Amino acid sequence: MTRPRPGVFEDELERRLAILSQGEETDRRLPASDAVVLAAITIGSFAVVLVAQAL
Amino acid sequence: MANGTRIETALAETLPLLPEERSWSFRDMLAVKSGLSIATWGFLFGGATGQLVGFIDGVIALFFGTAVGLGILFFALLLPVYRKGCESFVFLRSAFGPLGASLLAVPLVLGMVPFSAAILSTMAGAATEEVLIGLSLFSADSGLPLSAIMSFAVLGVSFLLAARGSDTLRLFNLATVPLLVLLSGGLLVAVFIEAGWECIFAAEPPETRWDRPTRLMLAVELNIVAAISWFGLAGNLMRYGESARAATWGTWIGLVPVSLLPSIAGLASSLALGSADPVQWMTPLVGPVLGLAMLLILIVANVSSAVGLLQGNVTTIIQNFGAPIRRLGFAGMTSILCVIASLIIWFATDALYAKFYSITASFGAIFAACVGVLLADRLVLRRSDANLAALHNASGGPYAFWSGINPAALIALAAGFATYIALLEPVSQTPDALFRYTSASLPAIAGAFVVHLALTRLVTIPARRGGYDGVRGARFDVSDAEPAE
Repeated sequence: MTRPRPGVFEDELERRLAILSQGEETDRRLPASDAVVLAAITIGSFAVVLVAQAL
Repeated sequence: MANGTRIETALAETLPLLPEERSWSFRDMLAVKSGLSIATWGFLFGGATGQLVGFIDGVIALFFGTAVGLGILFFALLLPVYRKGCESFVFLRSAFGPLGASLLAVPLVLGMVPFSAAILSTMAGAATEEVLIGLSLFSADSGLPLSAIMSFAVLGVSFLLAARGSDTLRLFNLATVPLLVLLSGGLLVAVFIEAGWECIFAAEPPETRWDRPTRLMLAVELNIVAAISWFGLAGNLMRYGESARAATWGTWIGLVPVSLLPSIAGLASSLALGSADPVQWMTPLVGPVLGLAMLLILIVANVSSAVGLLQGNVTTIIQNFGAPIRRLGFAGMTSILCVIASLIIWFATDALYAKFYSITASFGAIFAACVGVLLADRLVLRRSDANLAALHNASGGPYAFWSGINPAALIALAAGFATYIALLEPVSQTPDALFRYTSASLPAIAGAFVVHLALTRLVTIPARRGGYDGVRGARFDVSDAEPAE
């Protein structure tokens, strides 16, 4: 992958912010279904621990 | 505009990533995160777990404890950092203020990273010493501090790879992760063959004064804080994912089930063989030829993890400690971390292993409280709204709060930390009576959450600080006003 040769740090920050604000917005949110699954796994994992303690 | 001075690519990637830089596939992300987790700490966490509980409880603690910690971290930090593409502690500015975030980076990065790099290098150095002795290049009684010298060499190799940036990290892990999986799987099989299934399943941990449910929760707590401790590193590396789904599940699988490979080997060997350190028992167990091969892979495993650790965390330092640090460059800052790690290796190697649980739990208390603040800020107060340009305005802007610090967040952090300590004293590892039902991390997260919420609503918002009424006029607004598809 070729990369641009960047300028000084602060200028590079401004350049990137300008590109990101003007560019086409890519939806970087996790799909709701995946978020639900992740939450369920997380909560369920602690529930498993509590159950295991009781066994 | 640029004055013609160039900055290195690795330095530029500490800034918000451009779309073309976010190119890691699910496989790439899985490889990098697997490379992080298959390393010394996998064996150490497994071994520490085996000091508390038996094998079945240990597997439960390793898997489900890690899943709890990492899952919470996703919602607090990893998902929003991925969305913004900014460095993790830059994102923390929305809750803690720029100076507050930088202050947190001191213990959580400058403290944690050299400690972790030292642990990795120490075991890799010990493994290298065994290889050299096994190949008759040195004798065991040579009198040379061979292990320490090799630890420095491993640190040096890690530095050289880390300083080259994210592509090197990705390619190195893609090449080495299959070997690491073979190593951990092979060690697990070797331990089971040597000790026997029945022996491992029947083995008891050392005697303690606590009952089984408390010991199980202690083991779970260890793995919750281990997962939360990935913190900014996991976020910084996750940014490279080409999609949220690829980044999320590549990270989750790499840091949860894949991490079981070395940790179950460490658990089983701790219970049945008396030591979680594979360097001590690998060669006697599998023979000299296979043992040497496995030791070499163990060295690679620790190098890959150290490279990811350094590469991901130097990003934080570059972004949060101002222009003087940036003038050192990416390689310069990486080398400073390696020097600090070298000092730890030289002066405190024994303490690293002896105090492993205490050190991890102490850092974990801070991380857990941070997570509580971030959850309250992101999910309730800002409703997932944060402005990328404002985050990078370190000298002013809506996230400046009071002179760069949000007192509400820091008070909440202290409250969460105090909650943790009240439930589990990390140095002596003494739990409170409630601990067995709640852990220490979850109440610490909840305590910080509630305090941050209350203080922000009662003090910060009425004072019109922190941009909680929405950041207007900035060039780049992103919000979760509409639900995702």
